[in-house]
Amino acid sequence: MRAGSSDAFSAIVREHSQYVFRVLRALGVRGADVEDLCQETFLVVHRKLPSYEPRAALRSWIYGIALRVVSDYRKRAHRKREALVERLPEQLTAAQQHNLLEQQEDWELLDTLLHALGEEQRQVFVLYEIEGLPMREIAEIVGCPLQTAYSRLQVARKHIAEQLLRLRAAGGAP
Amino acid sequence: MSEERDPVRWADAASDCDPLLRRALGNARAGLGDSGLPERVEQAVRRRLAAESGHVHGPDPRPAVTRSWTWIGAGGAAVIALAGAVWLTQGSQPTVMRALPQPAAAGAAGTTREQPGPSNPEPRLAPQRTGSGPHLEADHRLRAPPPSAVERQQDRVDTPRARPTLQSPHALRADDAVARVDRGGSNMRGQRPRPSAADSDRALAARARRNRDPASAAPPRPADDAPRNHARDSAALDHPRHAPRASIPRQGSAPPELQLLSDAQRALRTTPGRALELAEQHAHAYPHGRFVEEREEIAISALLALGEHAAASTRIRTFLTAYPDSLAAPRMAHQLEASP
Repeated sequence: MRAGSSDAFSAIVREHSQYVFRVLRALGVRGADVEDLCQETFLVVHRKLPSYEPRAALRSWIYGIALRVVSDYRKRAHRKREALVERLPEQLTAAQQHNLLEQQEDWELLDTLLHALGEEQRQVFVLYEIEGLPMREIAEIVGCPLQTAYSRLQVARKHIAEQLLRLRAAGGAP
Repeated sequence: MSEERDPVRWADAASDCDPLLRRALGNARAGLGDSGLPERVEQAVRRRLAAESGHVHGPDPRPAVTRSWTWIGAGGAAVIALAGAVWLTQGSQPTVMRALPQPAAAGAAGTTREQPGPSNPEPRLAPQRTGSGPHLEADHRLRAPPPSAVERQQDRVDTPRARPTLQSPHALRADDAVARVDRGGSNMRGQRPRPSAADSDRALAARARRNRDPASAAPPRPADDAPRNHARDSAALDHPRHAPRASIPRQGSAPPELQLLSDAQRALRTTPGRALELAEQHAHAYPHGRFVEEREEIAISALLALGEHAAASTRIRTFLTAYPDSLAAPRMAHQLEASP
C-alpha cells in the first residue's frame, strides 16, 4: 500500500468506524459479529478505495458497502444469537453502571422494536432516526425513489409505535 | 443536514414521539464511546491485508508436499505442451486431451472415470496409453481428476467469480496449455483469476475427503439432469466463455436469482399477487437457491397482504421450523400470533 493511501485509509477508519459499527448493530448484527463485520466492511473499503468516485458522499459509499456485508452475513447458515447485554466492567462507579445499564436496556428495547420492521423499512429508519442522514441521501444509498424512502419511513414509524404499544400491553416495556 | 421536506426526527425534542423511544434513539445516536474501535479495526484490516499479500511476496506458507506438487504441475504443463505439439504434427490425441470429459467417446474409447467405492477408493482416469516419458508424467499429473459437474457447479456457488473451472492449479496450467495448443496459441482462459494457493489446497483436500468417503460427497445428480450437465460441462471446457455461472437456474429462461427476488420484493408493496407469483417462480427455478429464506419471507408477506391468512400461517410455521434463528423469526412469530 502506498503511504498516501495508507494515511487516507487510516483517516477513513478513524472517522467512520464508529458510525459503521452503530449501523451494523442497528441492522441486526449480533454481539461479537458486529466488530468482525466492521473489519470486513473496511477491508472491502480498502480494496475498493482506488475505484471510489466522489460523486456520492464517502459516508454513503461506505454505508452501501456495509449494507452488502450485512446482507451476506444474513445469508450465512450459522448465525449466532448472543446476549445483547454485555457484562458490566467492574471498575465503573455505581452511577456509571446505572447509565450504562440504562443505555443497554434502551438499546435492547430499540432492537426489539426494529425487529418488527422489514429490511427496507429498517434501513431507512436506522439511517434517518439514528444516523440523522437526510432522506435524499438515504434514497440514494438504498437505491429507491425519494418518495419511496419517505413512505418506508412512515411505515417504519407506524410499525415501531404499534410494536411499542404491544410491548407495553404485554409488560415488556415501561 | 435535514431537508425541508424531511419530517422532524423522533430523537429531536420537538417531535411528538414517545419519551421512552426518544431516549432510546438518543442513546443509540450518541454512540458507543469505544475509543479503541478505530485502532482495532485498522490493525485487523492491515493484518488481513498483510496475510493476503504474504501469499504473493512472502515465503511460501504452504506445506512442502504442496510446493512439490506445484513443481510437478509446472513440469507437467511443459510436458503437456510438448505432447500437444506432437499431437498437432502427428494427428494423434495426447493423453491430456483424453483426460478431459468427452461424453461421446467416454465409453467407447476407454477413457472412463472410475467411480469411488470400496474396491476403488480413489477415482482416477484410467490411462489408455502406457509407455514412458511424457505420457507417464502427464498421467501422474492427472491423478487429480477433473471435478464433476456437481463439484464445479458447487464451487461456482461458493465463489462465483473467484474460482476457475478446474480447481487444481496444476490442472489449470495443463488446461491452459491445452487451450493454447487447441486454439493455435490463443489462450481463452488467460484472463481468468487464478486461485490462491490456500484455495487450491483447500479444494484438493476437500476432494480428497470426498474421494475417501463417498457418502459425504456432493449430493447425487438427478438422472435426468446428467446428460444435459455433462454436455454443458463439456461445452464449458471447449468454450470457457460459455461456462455456466452460479446463478444459472434449472430453466435457462428464468432471470438471475437475486433479480427475481428483488422484483418480488418491489412488487410486494404494490401488487402482492405478482410478488407471490415471482416467489413461486423462484421456488421453481431455484429450489435450493441461496435466498430461499428471503423468498419465503416475501411469499409470507404477500400471502398476508392478500388476506390469505390460513396459507400464511402454515407457511410461517414451516418457516419458523426451518429458520428458527432467522432475523425475521420474531416478526414471523408475531404475525402468526396476530393472524386471525
